[in-house]
Formats: sequence, C-alpha cells, structure tokens
Amino acid sequence: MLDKNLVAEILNEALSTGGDYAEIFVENTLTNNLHTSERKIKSSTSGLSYGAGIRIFDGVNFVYAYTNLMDRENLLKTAKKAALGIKSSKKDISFDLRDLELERKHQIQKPFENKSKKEKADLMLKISEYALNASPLVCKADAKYKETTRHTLLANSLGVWAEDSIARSLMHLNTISEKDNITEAARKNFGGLYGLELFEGRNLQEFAEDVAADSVSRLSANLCPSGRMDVVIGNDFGGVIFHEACGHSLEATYVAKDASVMCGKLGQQIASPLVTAYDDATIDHAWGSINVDDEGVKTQRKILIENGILKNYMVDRLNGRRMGMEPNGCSRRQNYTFAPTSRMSNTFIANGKSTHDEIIANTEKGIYAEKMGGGSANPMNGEFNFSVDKAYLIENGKITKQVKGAKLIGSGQEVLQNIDMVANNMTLSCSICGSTSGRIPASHGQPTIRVRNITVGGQK
Amino acid sequence: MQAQEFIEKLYQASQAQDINQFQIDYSQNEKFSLKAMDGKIEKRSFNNTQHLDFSIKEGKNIGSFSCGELEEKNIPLIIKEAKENALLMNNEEENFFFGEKREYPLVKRSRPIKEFETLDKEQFLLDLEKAAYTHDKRVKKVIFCFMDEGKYQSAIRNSLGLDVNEGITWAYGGIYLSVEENGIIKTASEFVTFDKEEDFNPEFIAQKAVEKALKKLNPIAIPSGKYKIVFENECFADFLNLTKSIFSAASMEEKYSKLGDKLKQKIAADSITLVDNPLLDNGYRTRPFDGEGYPSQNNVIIQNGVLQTLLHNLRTAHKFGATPTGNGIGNGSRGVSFSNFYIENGNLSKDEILQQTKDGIYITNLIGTNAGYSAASGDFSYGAEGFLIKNGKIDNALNPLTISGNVYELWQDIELIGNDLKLMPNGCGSPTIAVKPMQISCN
Repeated sequence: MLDKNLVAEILNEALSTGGDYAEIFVENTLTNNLHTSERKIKSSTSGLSYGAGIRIFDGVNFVYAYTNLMDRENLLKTAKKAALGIKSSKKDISFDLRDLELERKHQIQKPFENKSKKEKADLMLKISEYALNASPLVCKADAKYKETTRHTLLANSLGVWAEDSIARSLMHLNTISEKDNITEAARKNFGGLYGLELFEGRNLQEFAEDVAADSVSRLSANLCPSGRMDVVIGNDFGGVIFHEACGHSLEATYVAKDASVMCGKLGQQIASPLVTAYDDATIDHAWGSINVDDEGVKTQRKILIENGILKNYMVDRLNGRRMGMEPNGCSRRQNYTFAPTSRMSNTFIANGKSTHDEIIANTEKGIYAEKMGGGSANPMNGEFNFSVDKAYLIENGKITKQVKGAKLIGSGQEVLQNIDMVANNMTLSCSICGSTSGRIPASHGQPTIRVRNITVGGQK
Repeated sequence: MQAQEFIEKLYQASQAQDINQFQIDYSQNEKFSLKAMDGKIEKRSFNNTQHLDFSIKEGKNIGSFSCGELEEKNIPLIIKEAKENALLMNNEEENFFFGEKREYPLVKRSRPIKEFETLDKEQFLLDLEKAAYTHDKRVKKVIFCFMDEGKYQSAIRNSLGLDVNEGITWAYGGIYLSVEENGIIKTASEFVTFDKEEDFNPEFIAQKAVEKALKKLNPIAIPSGKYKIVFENECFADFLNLTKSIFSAASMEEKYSKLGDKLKQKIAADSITLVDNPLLDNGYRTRPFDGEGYPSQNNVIIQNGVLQTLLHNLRTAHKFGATPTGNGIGNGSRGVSFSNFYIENGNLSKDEILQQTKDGIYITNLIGTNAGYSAASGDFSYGAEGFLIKNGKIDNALNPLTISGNVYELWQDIELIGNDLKLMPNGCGSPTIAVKPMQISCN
C-alpha cells in the first residue's frame, strides 16, 4: 500500500524526538451493504476507507495521530507533528523492515465480485420471502447483508512489516410479527471470514423460518417473573455474558490500569472448576479471527481460564509494558482512526461433560435463557446486566411457558463461581463488540450452562 | 489533491456523464485529545481527516458512495458505485435532493468560551486527577482524565443549485474514577464542555465526580416490586436518547414506532411539551440546516400532551403528505436526525418533586443500554443505578437494579416535571421527571 522506503522515513521521523517505538498502520477497506424490506431493495450503499495511523511510545506514554491525506508530504508532516508530543532524548534505534511470515488461514473460495449486487439483493429478497411466508402474523422481514475486504499494513521500528487481507461477510435477518396490536421482533445472523460461499451448505429457508417463529412466539409470551433463581443459559450467543462480564476484565486495557476486578489474580481460582475458557483468533473462518493483530503480532489460541484457574490476560504491546508482560496477539482496532488495544476475538467457554437435556432435567425451577440479547458489564467491579431475547420457565425439570422481558443482573465473579453444570454443545455466534478502540467483529460462544441463583429482573 | 480541486473535478465528471441529479457532501474533521493517568499525560492524539459522500438520483432512488481518499483516480469508481447503488434500489416512494433557494436562520453557538484558548490543558488534567485523590481517601483510582477538542466543517453542493456550508468547534473534558470502601467498588464520571466559568475549575469537577461515586457506596437491597420513580434530569435525557426514534417518521414506516396514527391525539401527560429545536441558542446540536440542506426550524412534537408531528426528512414528508421538518440525514440515507431534543421545563424544583413523591426510587443512571429495548413493542428493561427516596428525601444507595416498562405507557405516566432542564452533549435534554410506579428488580 505504501512504499517501504517511505514507511521507514515516516518511522524515523516519528522517532526523532526520543520515542522508543514507532509504528504505522495503513488500512484500505471496501464495504458493501444491502438491505431488503417489504419485497423491495430498500438500500444499497458502499464505501472506500483509506487512511493511516501513526503511534509512538515513550515508555508507557504514547502519541497517536491519524490522517487520510495519504500523500508523502502529509504523512511525513503527520509523523513530525506526532513526534512533537514526545519530549525525550533521541534513542539510537535502527531497523530493517522485514516481511512477517503469516499463515493465511482464511482464504475465501468465491470472491464477492463473482456475483452482481442485483444477484445478492435477489438472494436477500428470497430469504425475507421465506420469513414472510412462514406465518400470516409476520408483517415485516428485513434482510441485511454486509461484505468487507480489509487490506492492512503494519510496520514498526522493531522491523516488522506485516501485510494482510481479510474478507468478511455477514447476513442478518430481522422479523416483526403483529397480533391484536401487540408487536414483537426477533433477529438472527450468520457470518465469518467467507466470500460468497457464506451462503452455501446452509438451509436458508430453515434459518428464515426460525427467525420468523421467534417473533411469532413472543406475541403470546407472558411477562417474566422477577427474583433470584437458577438460570440455564443456552449455547451460542449465550457466551455474551462471559464476554462482557469476564472477558473485558481480562483485557490488559483494564488490568494494566488497576481498573479490573481481575487484577493480580493470575493462578487463582476465579471460577467454578467446571469452567475452561479460551480466546482464540486462529479458528478457521470464524467471525472474530485474524491472521495478525493490528500491531503486527501473530494471533494465537489463548487459554484464559483452565478448570476455574485464571491462566492468561489478553495483552497488547503498550499495556504489556505496564504489566511487564509480552503482547500476545490480541491488539485490535475498528479502523485507522483508533489506536489499537487489547481486545477479544473468538471468546468462549469450552465444552463440559453434561448434555443440554441433562441440565434442563436437573433443574427443578428456574429460567431457560435460550437466546440472549445484548448487555454490558463494568470491568471495575464486574457488575453486569443483560437482556434475554427468548426465555422459558423451567418447572420440574421441563421447559414450559415462554416468557419475555427478562433481564439478568449480578456480578461476573459471582456468576463464574456459581456455574454448576456445563454441557457439550458449544457453538460460536457473530457479534460486534464496542470498546476503547472502536467496534470490532467478535464471536461469543459457550455450551449450555447452568448458573445458580441469579437475579432476574422481569416485568412482573 | 486539494479537496476543492477534487470536488470541482468530480462535479465536472458527473456533468460530463449526463447525470441528471447528483450531490456532493464533504466534511473535514480535526481533533486533538489528551488523556492523563498516574500523574502523567499518558496519551496525546490528533487527527486530520476528510470525507466525501457522492450521491446520484436515478428514477426515484438516490444511491451513494462514501470515500475518504480524494484522489482523481477514484472518480470513476465513485461515480460508478453511486450510480449502480441508485439503479439497484426499487423503492416506490420518491427520494429528493433539496434545491430551493431559502433563507437560512442565523444560529448562535459559542462553545467553548474564549478562556479555553489560553487554558494549559495538560496541567488542567493533571490538576484534575490530583484534586480527585486529594478530595477523599476512598478514591481508589482515577481511571483517566481526558480532554477532546475539535473542529468540524461540512459542505453540501448539488446539481439543483444547493451550495451550503457550516463549521463548528467543540471541546469536552472529564474524569472517570472509582472509590472503594469495605470491599465495595463503585465508579462515577463527570464531564464539562468549557462553556462556563466553573468548567475551568479542576477542584470543583473532581469533587462532583468523587461525591457522585461516594454516594453509591454501602448500597442496600430492596425487594422487587412496583415503586414510584423519580428520574434525575440527566438520566431521563439518556432515556429520551435511547427511545427517541418513536418520534421519527422513518422509524414509523419501519414499524419501529406506533405513533403513526396518533397525530393530534393525546399520547402523553397534559403537562408535557417536547421539542426538537435546532435553533436553540448554544445547544449541542444547534444547526442552520439539516443533512439534506433543508433550513432548520423549531419543531414542537408534543404540546400539552398532544402529538403535533413526527420528525421528517424530505422523503418521508413527501411519502406521508407532511411538511418537512428539517430532520434529514442526507447522503441518500433513509433515516431522520434529531437536533436539540428535549422536554420543556415544568415549574417544580427537584426537592419539591422528591417531597411530593415521598417514597420511591430515584434513578440516576441507566446501564447496559445497548440492549434491553424492543423498538417493535416499546418494551424496555434496563439496568440502572439509583437511591431510595424516603420521606421525600434521597436516602441509601441501592444494589444494581433493573427498571422495566413500556415507552408509550411511560409518556402517559409522567406525573411531575421539574424546572431544571439539563441538555446533554448527545442533544437530548430533560428536567427531573416523576412517574407512576414502575417495575423494579434489585440484585
């Protein structure tokens, strides 16, 4: 994307005022979005984003500058201006930019340009049609499709030159059902590091009917009761609780600043012995996977918790300095307008030994949170709250009535200790995680688990 | 290539291709940020970026392409993509560019005030951090102090003759910290926008943040059930921001608002007047025109509880036979943009509201608000922080709460309105609000 000699010049300019590390991140991303609704191609948008971010370290302090005026003169000017933010004595740093060898795992089979926008839009219309035909109560089906191709270059004063290219696609369906002036919505998506093969080998009709059925069944759901109860959390997106209430607390972004409940807990029992959890950016074609992180470190599979014991944090280069730890390939950013920091990729609780059915059968009274909505947690004290999109009562070991409006509240530490059954049906979901360095694709996952005694906030 | 030169070339290339109607939206953004931690300036950051959206109208639809790299080599791609996008869409309703000659209102914006120019910003942040630690020994960690300032300029030019531009400057600063007592950790933040004298006083800002966090210590649990609720002004402004789309005509057509057939009907308590006022002096979202270049006007949405209008862009106004309200986004977007969106003051002080409520819950913060609201049904269930109201006074802090209800019912259930309107940087604003009992769960 940029000439090696120019990049070296930029890095040297960045180091001219005493910085001890400098990097440049260059990004060129092409995005296409389609939206069909009410049997029409409602919107088609596209865009090209091209820009660069320059980061300089002076110990644990840093400067970040970005621009999309990409001519030589302005890039050097930006580096120079950034360097003015460092007031130290010039270090003797020399480097030779060498290609970082990467295993490019997520090659796509069918490039996006193999089909026209019209052909893709027709597929969206077909998927919406399946949903609209699923029930006379479904009054609206919105299909959205997004594809991005992101080319990146990360070069730094350690001599790293890492170029990568990742294609990512996501299909999202949202349905609304209506009856007797009650309106309810449901949604579901699938995606990953795929080209047009994303749609192959999937039963799109079943997918659409499933979403439609969810919005229809909510119409007759009762309000969820409130109080403390046992909660069985379904697999897949159920992992969002682990992501928010534990995952963020393990990011060096918070740990290095003494702003996490997980500070100083490596080697300690922080969860039930049934819990083993990973952050793994190397899973083939998974939504949150990347070959190399956004500061030029190869990604890896990290065990975060093993049998309840905290094993690892997610560490980026800058916070690693604060913590005296090596970066472990998890530094990410939405785009060149953000400085990178430690983030999650594909984060999940690993399979246990129970089955989903055993967990339900062993629960006398509680809630089955089949599909979680979103939520958030405060890494400082672990307090979280999440909404449940689809929930049922469990009575005498059986799933009974559907309920709506359920919210789970509590603290991450407490929930991790109170997990007393873990099933063997782990799957990953696609999501967007928003934090300090912007909104990034991240997968959450888990098998079905049971947590004793959570506060459920209901509407009655 | 210089932006002006690029825009001129793109304009000429579009004309050369006999494109009937097209529009160029250009913006330039400069920002400078500082972050302090542990007695040092931890982060300095700045940027200079530009952005362009090019839109083409083909038939009834407007297609667009967005691009940051303004190089001549990209012009064919920009035109091809915008055209392809426009030709692909098959919406029946018509989309419009605005090209009428109109007078634009003069708007008053003076934020930050001139003292900001001479402020030693790095020292200010270091003083702010220090002031927090000095104020109370229970301060566990000043997680960060920050300051952001910027300049944003935008211009819209189209083939119908529209040629408008404007620019704003802005600044924010703030502190985020935690306090600890008896193993309980609580966090709080405070921000300023440098538009009044006290915003330049680190001790005052730090004290407010620390006191806010300290009040949350030693929380108690309460049984789940229905409680009378008083929303702090800032908190209800946050609630308005989360649920404001019910007043958008674009949401209504997407079935995410149930107010489409409620015009001239009573949808809220008698005393409610709700406006979207882009002409407000010194509002955070004050603007002379909207994203489509349509002149700004003050829109009264609810007057004395009666719905007067939804907010429209050019497309929705035409589709629903309404007058445009100046709430377009532009760039071919189908949506509606809000400006300064707030509930007008009532005549009670916050203390009078608490006294009249006597017993209930004072909600100060909604959390986890990225989920918990169903736009289709209007049902919401949010995490919250709050305090007990006992004998008309704010009492103990409460353990984490959830508050549940339905947005349409809540507008009807508002009982008391304060005289302490607070506008937030997201453009939303509210006075203190008391409502009939709502469902609360407590951890």
